[in-house]
Amino acid sequence: MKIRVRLVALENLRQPPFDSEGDGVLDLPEGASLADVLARLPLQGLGNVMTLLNDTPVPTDQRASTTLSDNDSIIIFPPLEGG
Amino acid sequence: MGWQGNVLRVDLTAGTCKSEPLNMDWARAYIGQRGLGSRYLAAEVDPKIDALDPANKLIFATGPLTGTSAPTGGRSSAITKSPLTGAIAASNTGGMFGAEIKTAGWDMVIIEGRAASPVLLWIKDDQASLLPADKYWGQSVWAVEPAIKTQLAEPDAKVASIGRAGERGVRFACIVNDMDRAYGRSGVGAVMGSKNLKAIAVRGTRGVKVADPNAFIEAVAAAQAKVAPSPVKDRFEKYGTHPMMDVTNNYGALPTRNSREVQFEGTGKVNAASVRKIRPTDGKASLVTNKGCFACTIACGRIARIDRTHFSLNDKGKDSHYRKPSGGLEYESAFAFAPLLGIDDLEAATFANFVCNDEGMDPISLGGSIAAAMELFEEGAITSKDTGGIEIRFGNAEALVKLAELTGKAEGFGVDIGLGAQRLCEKYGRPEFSMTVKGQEFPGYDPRAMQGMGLAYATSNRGACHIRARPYAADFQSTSSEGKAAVVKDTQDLVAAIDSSGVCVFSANILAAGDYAAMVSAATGEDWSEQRYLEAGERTWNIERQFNLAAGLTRADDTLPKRNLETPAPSGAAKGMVNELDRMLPEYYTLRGWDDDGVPTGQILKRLGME
Repeated sequence: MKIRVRLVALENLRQPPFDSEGDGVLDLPEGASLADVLARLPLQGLGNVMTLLNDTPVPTDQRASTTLSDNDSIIIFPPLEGG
Repeated sequence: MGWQGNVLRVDLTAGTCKSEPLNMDWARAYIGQRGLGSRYLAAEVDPKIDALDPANKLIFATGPLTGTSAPTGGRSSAITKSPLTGAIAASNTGGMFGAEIKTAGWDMVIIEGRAASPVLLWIKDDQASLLPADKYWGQSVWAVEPAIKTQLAEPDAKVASIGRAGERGVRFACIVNDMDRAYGRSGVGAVMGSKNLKAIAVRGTRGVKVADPNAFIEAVAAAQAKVAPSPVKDRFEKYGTHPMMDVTNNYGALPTRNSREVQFEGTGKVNAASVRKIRPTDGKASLVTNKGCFACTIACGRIARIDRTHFSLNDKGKDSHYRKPSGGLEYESAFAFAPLLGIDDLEAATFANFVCNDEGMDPISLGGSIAAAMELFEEGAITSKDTGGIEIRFGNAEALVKLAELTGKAEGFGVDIGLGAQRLCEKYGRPEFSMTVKGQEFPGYDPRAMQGMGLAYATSNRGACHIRARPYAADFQSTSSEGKAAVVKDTQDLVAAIDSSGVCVFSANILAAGDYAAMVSAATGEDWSEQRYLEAGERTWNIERQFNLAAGLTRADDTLPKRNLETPAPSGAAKGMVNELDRMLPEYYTLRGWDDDGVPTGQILKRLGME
């Protein structure tokens, strides 16, 4: 299934299959979870990243049990604070 | 040690500068800086006075880590009663100025009274004097700061000054130091202006001693070992705080068009990526480089240059500072001058930020006040007759440029903008357009998507503020209000302790309470356990609260605008939601040990030794 992923404020990870804006499409097997998507990305050292699935936040402890569907949209961003 | 043990008390009415010993009992209870300054203010100033009365005092306070090699150890605070909120103000700055005060031998400088005519306070180590400053009155920060160094023949002196905004009572005037850093929020610059104090120049050569050098080096090295490899440091250094705009926009937490919306379609033209794009007009990017404050290896500050072909520079001469690289947009200023106003003109936003540094204004409050004016205009509450012919509509970058300059000089409709959003909206009969708490304008986080931030705004002792608590991680995990009261209370105490230590709250993205406590212990020679350190933060929070209650603020002031409480978010992660403050606030009061009216109980005051 195709999962649309947007990397926000993760400029260093914008390499294929992601474009210069951080948008990309991942191919995942049926039954894959949100945690499976995160495991495919080089997010080590970034701390606990934040995730939105179809515009709904998914807390860390629910990502492994959150099963994805074809054409779902995921947004991932680092744990930014301050500003 | 860590503390210098000295307070410089400047009586502007009498024209005297005297040294006195630091109250060490208070220092041990409140650490320094924000907490200690608040303790002094509460003891010396009647909370009910008008903030611009000579009886108000303006306290510049450092912490035990200010001026040391502790990571980000260059912070200081200006504490006073705010003319914007009527509450206690504690505005925190970086740059080099605070470290210079400390290096000159002072923990605090207390300004009291009012000078008969404009003065400059000149501090060189243990010597302080008041010099005439009539020739600087009516000039901007960027004109005055280099001129003072030339006059004193002290090129290495550090200067904090007010622009015309502070002289002329703009309610959100700030005090600018080192050209582009500022004691930014709550109108501390207007208090300085009310005292006829144009500037403070400091040169310090005495240094800062720590109690246990070996332990201090060890504690600092341990902290630096965390900072240096951190991806947070790397991101702040490369991109500053600006990437937050893409996060809040995607989350639906980006206040847009005076918070009528929560996502901005023009973000791509004013975000962190946009400042790196090469302009076709001059072949250069807006962003020139980054900049660090004293003892900071993160260096999140931005230096930017306005496109020389942009209309905002049309009346600026070829040697104008506005045509040179200077302090650029960070997240808050970018949000305030772009999405909040529906403007996607990066150069206009940068120009408005330059004006804030030049004339001495808080960009968050300037943006928030202009946003309120735009809504008043769009809704017909004000017309071009009121504004001197300016079409103050959302998206109008030319209006932003004009209003920034008019407000900085307190001229034309800028006088009304300088009232701040709350007074402006009340004046024109539409108070509901004021996106403020306790009269202070909102930072760039919408309380509907970020429930914890809403509670943090509502309970902040200085009015709406994004750096008085740290609910970010919890808010970005979930739009629920569940558990947010505890996060807000705990992080308020941590931030208060950090703000009292002399280091930057941004370092808390990497360091923990124990790291700070270890450095403060080694610097002061006192045993600061993590518990004692956090308790000092809690004590600070409560002394601020007590000041505000004595000033006349009540539980009714711990609230949010109706737009957040009654109008559902139109899009984003919290689409259809309002802020659930009524659910969180009672829980928060209970966690604080306050009664149902938000008054600290005898039990909590006893525990904190504040009876």
